[in-house]
Amino acid sequence: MNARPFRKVLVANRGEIAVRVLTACRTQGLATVAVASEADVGARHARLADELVVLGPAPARESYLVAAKILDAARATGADAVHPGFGFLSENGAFARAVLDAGLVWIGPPPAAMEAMGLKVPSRERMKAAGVPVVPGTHDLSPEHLATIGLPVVIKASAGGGGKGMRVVRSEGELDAAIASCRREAEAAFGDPTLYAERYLEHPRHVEIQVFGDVHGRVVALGERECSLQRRHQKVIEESPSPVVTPELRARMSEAAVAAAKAVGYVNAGTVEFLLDADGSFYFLEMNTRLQVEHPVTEEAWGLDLVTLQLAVAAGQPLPQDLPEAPVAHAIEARLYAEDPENGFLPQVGTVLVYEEPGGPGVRVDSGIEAGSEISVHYDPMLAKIVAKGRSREEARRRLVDALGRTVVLGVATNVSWLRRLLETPEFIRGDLDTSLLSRLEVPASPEPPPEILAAVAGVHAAGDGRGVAPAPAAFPDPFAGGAFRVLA
Amino acid sequence: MRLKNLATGTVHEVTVERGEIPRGARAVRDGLTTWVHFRGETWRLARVVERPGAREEEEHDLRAPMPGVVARVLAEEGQAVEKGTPLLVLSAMKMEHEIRSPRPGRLVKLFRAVGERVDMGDPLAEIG
Repeated sequence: MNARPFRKVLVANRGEIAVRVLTACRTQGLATVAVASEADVGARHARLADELVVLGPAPARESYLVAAKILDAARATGADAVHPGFGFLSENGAFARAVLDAGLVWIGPPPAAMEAMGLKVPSRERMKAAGVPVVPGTHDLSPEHLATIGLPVVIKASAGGGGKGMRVVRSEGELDAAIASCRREAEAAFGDPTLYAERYLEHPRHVEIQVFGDVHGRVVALGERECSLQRRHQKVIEESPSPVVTPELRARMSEAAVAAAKAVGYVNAGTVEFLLDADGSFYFLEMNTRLQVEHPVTEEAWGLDLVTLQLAVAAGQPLPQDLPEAPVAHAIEARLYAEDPENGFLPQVGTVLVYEEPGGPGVRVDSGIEAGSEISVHYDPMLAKIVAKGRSREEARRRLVDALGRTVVLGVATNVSWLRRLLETPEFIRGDLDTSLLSRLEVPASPEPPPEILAAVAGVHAAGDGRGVAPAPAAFPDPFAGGAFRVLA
Repeated sequence: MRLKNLATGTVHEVTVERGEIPRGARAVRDGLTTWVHFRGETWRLARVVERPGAREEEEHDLRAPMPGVVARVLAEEGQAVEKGTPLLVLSAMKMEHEIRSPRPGRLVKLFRAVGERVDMGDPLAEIG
């Protein structure tokens, strides 16, 4: 494991998670190295680090996904530890091994544990053997065999994650098309067309347990995150604690999660995902062998800094003895995506022209963008995470609604207004969630602009060609240019 | 002046006059498009420019809503299509997105084949 103290950390990622990890390193007095593609040289994460290594052209497969270039960057800068963030190479056991073989500290789990959990079929078998409940499933996709599990089934990429290469099949007639489409996506996204199928629970919640292990053999659970609000299997809203998890259920799920982690010799931060059925039974879904996108809700609800804990554990320190045993607040996170909710949530590209982040008590923003950022087709469309906490779920929700209303992104369409309207639906307010809710829920549509906005915009356009009067700049306080109406071209 | 809400396609007829700018609004103009944020909602409003002799908004073109690569073609030239008939699949950001016919008619021409790269706004098909 090479668990030993280190001085200089290379963060092998981009965007908000690179910013998050680099910031944690700085607060620990560690020197930092960022890596960037040619397109990201001026990006927020690239400017934050002490040193920057440019990896190559914009496409990830020519930059952030090239293990050899990242190892070269570590060598060239004298970095003695590597943090992978999430996505890219973070769950690639061969990369973790290469980092360790180069004599560097890997700020993540042992490669063997990553590999044991990386393939869904063997990991399920291993979890079954360890006494962790699993959903009935198979890698034999013949109609006869699937009939023994019972429809509906969900077909997934064996090497997958993040909802890529997944299809629900409700009737035998849909099977061939679903398998063909899944294989294509699996091949494209992971280079491995292997599929497997499992029973599809009709209205389960997605509840996951944060686990943490140290190199001294201790593994702890740090509560649950409810991530039931997903669109096409991509998480949209996460919260901790779950509105339905009682202390008794939390204890049972935590016990199963710790057993899962111990079964593979897990060290560092990991997440054990479960499907929670309406009757309180839960089933192992998969283990994510890395920091999760939604780690901030655990941090806010439990009063912890998980990235700093990752650094300590990687340096060989034991986990603290005084970790909290229950959440101390309620936290909710909303993911800000560059996508157009009014047009099928298509990913959006462009230049961020105006960007304002909300602040205030209990509000946290993890962001990788700023005014001037280019949102390109090369990377994940998640731009930032807006998180709010409160003493109650309702206090956290109200703070998040207000924070989303104060989040301004102009120049690239985002889901921010849709997220705010989603948090105001009766279903969300009640906490009545399940993983298919977003496919059924009628989130109110974006209203048309009010007359005063139309009049103001018309006035600006008319002024632009000499037929109207420009609005007085003083009427528009703007932190950027002395007038909120900025004219670019 | 006519302003089109680019998210919904609704065109608003607006009388140009000097009015109060709503307090708390944020806006930026980029050419003919203005981005506005007001009370938690964001709009993209495009000024509809009437040029003498110009065709009504190039009704026959179906344009790429995002950059990507054509993963599959689902319809044939000459085929009759309904509103919503899947025409082709664009792959972008590791996800697949189905492009559907915006209206009933006949698929006159497909401008892109499987494997070809498209930029946002490129014509994909002509529906006659």
